[in-house]
Amino acid sequence: MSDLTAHAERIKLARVLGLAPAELDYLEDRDGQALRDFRESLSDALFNRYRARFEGMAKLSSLLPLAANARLSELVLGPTLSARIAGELPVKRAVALGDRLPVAFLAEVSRELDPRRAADVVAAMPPKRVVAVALALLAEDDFITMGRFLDSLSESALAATIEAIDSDAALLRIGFFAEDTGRLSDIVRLMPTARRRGTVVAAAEQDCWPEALSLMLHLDADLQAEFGQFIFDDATLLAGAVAAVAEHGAWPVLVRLATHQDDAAQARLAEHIAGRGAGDHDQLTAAAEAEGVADALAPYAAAYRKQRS
Amino acid sequence: MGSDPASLRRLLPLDDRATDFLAQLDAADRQRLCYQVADAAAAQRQSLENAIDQAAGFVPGPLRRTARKLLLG
Repeated sequence: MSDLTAHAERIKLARVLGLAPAELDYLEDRDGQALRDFRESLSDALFNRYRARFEGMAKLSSLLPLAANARLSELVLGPTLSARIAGELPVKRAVALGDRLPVAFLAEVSRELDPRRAADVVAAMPPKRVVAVALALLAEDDFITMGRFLDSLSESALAATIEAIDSDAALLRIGFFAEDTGRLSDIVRLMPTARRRGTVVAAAEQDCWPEALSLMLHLDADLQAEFGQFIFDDATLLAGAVAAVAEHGAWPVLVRLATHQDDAAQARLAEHIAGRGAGDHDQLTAAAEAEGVADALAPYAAAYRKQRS
Repeated sequence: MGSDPASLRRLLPLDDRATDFLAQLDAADRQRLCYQVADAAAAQRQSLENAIDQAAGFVPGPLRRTARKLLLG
């Protein structure tokens, strides 16, 4: 999972630097959080170096009729400068301008936009416009850009976007790239139960368990219980999840999902783990102790001992 | 210009998050990243200058002086 996070961060940093992602391959052993800190610092520095000019551009932009302003953005400023200026415009003006620009251009601007500086503008964008841009980004598999805006979008825009995106795997991938995981539970609650289960099925069918496990790690306890039930009630999903947990060392996620399950479900996990070997059991037990929830996994432990005797 | 963290800091107001990251890289990677950052800063400056030149054309004649003041400070 940390590999994926670092990969996403290299892509985001490459965008700030105006490079192709492959030009940062030499940073591939760098930690995702360190890359993020560097990217945010660099983005701030590039903005602050010319802050007065961006503010001047924003003031000029406000003097122009909207149609001329839209032409200026598209023909002269381009997506990068338009993104830098967006956060300096009055919110109403920025939203009205966004309404005038072609969706493809807005999608380009959103790739360059720093959500920290334009959060109010993003939050005020009408849901229809957000959906149109999201679908344009989705057509290019740009889950990273969509993930960056999860924290800023209004609830109505998020709900409309979730409804418009028919791929459960895409939702998982977008969630994985959220800049701030604090809002993930609220967003997941906007999805109907069937779609929440659909994301787990998609994880198994479309090889995105790392994204699913990362998402589940950050959910509230009641949602972890629900996602755990989806997995523990289906032998195929359970086998896929445990294999992915073992591959990516995501034992704390499995522990959190398991602690909310009843004795029968924990016994099914024990049966499956016993079939995989003692190493997995040791990892699971160590993670449970580290999380301070070993007692909640007592039914699992008893069932495992029975399996091995 | 910008081949090491010190000259990069003269070019851009980088904070400790950036300089700490650069300090962790080996010399070759650090120099390479410093050059990439310097190139990005130069590209931004160039595109801003071009945009400022062209933006005046979008402003009606009587407002051009005000526009230049806004853009150039």
